[in-house]
Amino acid sequence: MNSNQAIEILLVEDNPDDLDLTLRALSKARLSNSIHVARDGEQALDFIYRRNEYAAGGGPANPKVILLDLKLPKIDGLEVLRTLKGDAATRTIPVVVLTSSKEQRDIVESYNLGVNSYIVKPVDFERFVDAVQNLGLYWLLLNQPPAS
Amino acid sequence: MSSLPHPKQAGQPGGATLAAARRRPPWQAYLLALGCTGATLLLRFAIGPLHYPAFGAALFAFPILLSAGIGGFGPGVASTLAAVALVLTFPASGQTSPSIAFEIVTLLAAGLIVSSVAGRLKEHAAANRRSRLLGGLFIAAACAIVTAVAVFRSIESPPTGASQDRSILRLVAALHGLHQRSAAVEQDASDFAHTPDASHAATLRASLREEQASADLLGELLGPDPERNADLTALRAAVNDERRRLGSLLSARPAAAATAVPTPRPIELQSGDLDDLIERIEWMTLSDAEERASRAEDHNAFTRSVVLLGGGLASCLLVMGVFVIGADEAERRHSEEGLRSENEWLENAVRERTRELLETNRSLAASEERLQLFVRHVPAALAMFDTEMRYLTASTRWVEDHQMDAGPLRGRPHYDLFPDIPEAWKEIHRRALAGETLRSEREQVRRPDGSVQWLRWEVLPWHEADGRVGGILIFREDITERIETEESLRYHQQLLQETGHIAKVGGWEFDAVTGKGGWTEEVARIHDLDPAHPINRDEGIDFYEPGSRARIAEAVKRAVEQGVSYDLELQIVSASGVHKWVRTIGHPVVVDGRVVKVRGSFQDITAQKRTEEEIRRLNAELESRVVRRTAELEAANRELEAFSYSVSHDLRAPLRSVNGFARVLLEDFAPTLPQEARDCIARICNGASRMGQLIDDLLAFSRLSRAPLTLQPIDMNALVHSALIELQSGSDAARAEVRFSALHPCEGDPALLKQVWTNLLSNAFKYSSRRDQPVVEIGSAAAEGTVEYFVRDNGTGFDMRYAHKLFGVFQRLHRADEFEGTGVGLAIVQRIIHRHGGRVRAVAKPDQGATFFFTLHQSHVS
Repeated sequence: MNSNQAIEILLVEDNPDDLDLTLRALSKARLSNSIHVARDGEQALDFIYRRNEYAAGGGPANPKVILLDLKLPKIDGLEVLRTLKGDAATRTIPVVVLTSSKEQRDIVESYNLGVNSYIVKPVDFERFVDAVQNLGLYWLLLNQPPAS
Repeated sequence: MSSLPHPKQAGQPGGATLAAARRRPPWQAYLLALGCTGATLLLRFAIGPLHYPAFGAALFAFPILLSAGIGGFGPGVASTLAAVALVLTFPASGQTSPSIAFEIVTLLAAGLIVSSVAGRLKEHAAANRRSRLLGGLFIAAACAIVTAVAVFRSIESPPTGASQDRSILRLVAALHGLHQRSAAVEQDASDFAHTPDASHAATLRASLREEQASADLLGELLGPDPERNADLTALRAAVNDERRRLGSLLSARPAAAATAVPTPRPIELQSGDLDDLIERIEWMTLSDAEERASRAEDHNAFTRSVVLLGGGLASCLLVMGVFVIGADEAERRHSEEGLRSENEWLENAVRERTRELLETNRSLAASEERLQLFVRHVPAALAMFDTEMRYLTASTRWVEDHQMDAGPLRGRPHYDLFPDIPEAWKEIHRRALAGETLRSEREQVRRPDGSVQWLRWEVLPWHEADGRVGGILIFREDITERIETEESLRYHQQLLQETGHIAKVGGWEFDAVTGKGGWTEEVARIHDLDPAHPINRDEGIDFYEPGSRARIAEAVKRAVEQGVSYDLELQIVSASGVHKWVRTIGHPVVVDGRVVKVRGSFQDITAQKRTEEEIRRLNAELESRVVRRTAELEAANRELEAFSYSVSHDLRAPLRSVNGFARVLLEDFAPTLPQEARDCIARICNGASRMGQLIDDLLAFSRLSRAPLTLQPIDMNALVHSALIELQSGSDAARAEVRFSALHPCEGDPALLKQVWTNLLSNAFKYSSRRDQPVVEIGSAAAEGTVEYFVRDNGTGFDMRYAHKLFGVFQRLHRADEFEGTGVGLAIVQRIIHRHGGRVRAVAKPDQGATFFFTLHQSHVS
């Protein structure tokens, strides 16, 4: 993996099928160049804070957007969200929850923690591709983050 | 009327003395009468022979007058009779029988007249002391006048001067008469001696009687002159001798005795005797001046003695009078104080009475007027009648009650005005007129309208001033209200008692100072005591259980000392040892800032307590059961939540994989796959999508059960509009004609109800989409707090045989290739409506459209 490149998207996904489909959708939208995939919450936080396996990477890696699944092994998505949004250094990183859950409880909690967007993964593949492409375009090209 | 106390009543001792002193013992008067009469006799003897026999009677008039004057009729008569007896017994010297008879007759007549007059006078004067004294003085004056007259007559009467000469002439004439009679007797005696026959005897007797009469006349004329008396005595002796001689002569002629009473020979006055007598008379007549002077002096002495005696008698009378008056004075002095005080009291009483009378007189007219006014306005029926049952007056109430006209009432007969008066009443009137008082305290009568009336009446006679019955008074009072009130009160008391018995509640009170008290029967019963059992505060407190006793004692103490009320639920042990719960409420009664009494109520709440405890126990049990159930439910809910959560997260992911990779297969390997394989992959994709939709709907339905219901008034028109707007984007909805009438508002959760409308309307659009003119109709009807809404379409409808399946989850009446759908929409509708407490139903026919109805509670806020 091209970990030394400037990472634009951090995809946090434990389900390999969903991961493949997401990556496929992103690549179809030509957004797959600088993606880093974390397979659980701990990896995601390690990547952001350059800890453990990512310790050699230097200062905090601030991707342009984090696509975050909620149901994750070890540290779940909401906990990751809480950590990132609770830290001034990482608060400005846009986080988009991309999950299967339509549970109101999850949606409300996510927004309370400061999520920037909440996307339910459609079952229908075409709609899923549309959704991923749209959000990639929006957050990577249209959205203007503050200067870090 | 007078308020002055009578001195006798005040116990003054003078009263009895006074009354006794007024009555002179009668024996004193009788003694005085007899004494005076005796004294008069002595006086008469002292005076000596009287020239006129009437003087004797006159003398005795004194004691009679005096006795009658002082003692009245009885003593007067006694004196009279005594005088008569004395005159008869002790005739004055030289008194002849006629003289005595005359004197007696005079005495009797005069004495009886005087006595009766004096008696009458005394009767009249008895009440009047002054009149009595005047009467006494009058009698004394009469006595004095009679005395004076008698004295003057006595002075006048002696033969002095011409009158004496006339006496002498009468004496001479009498002497001559006697002489002639004697000569006639002599003649007749000699005739009889010659021829002693009856005629001569009669002649002789007549001559003798005449001679005797002459002799008597002469004797009378000679009077009490001692000298003449001596002559006369001698003369009489001679006459008597002669008479005896004649008697013997007559008796010697027995032949004549058959027809003639032998008559004694009359006095044979010798001529010498007669001459001597005449000479002596002449001497008397021709006595010289010296002799006259001497005689006059004698006469003066007599007069003086008479005057003295008269004076003495008068003095005696005066002394007696003074004695009488003095005695009266003594009496009066004796009772002076009593008299004075009595007089004062009497005067005051009289003044008071006079004032009252004046006052009474002045106010009598006004009083009469007021009486009339009073009677008229007495708030009861009152009427006054005379003995003929004619009205005198009547109260307005009477007039109203009898429905009488307002004209003047006085004098109108009651029975004429009311001819139908029952005989029983007339009888009552008659009895009252006879003096009886009749009354009835309560009498039931029926009014003409049939209602019951209670009367109290009294019929009584009224009396004139002289005590006669003047008529009657009829008093009648309508006491219906009072009786009804009494009965109502009695009823309520009974009711209260019964209620108390049922509720086991009663009242009590005790005196704050003494602790003495009382309670109602029910309170005694709660204590298992006889209702008559006396009770006091401390004994009442002793009935409480030890644990309660301190509390009640403290409460009672505070009530008595600080006036604080209490309301306690405590336990007692009754007299028969039963433990009971009681509620006792005490209120202090404060008078002038001090607690005088504490009173309150007392209720047996044992049953209540038992029930309360039972309820508490059941409640606790119920609560624990609820807690247990809630915990179970919460656990179930949590499981359900976890289930739906995992469904949401984990069930869709494999679908996505299926769908996604099938799509990848198509995209990446479509040219290498045969057409059949491509169709299979397409079906895999559709199945996965449909499964995703089912999961979504199922989760939505599951969420409905868990989401909290937020009820609020809802404007259904606005809600339906927003649902329609969201649906209009669909092609089915765009084609359809929506007929919409104003909907009733209701109460419910807006978000959920919007879901209901969305589901029903989308169904309606969907199932009518094959019509050329799809029509969807929306309306509502309100009744009894409920609103029924409906959505009607002209779509395919359905067979009512399957209506029961309509609202089940995943139940469909149409195939999926006819109409899309998962079969969850109506299940969601039913779930939401049921959670709102409403009902859902559908009416339809195949190909004739369907109508879905649902009810909701009407909004309380219009």
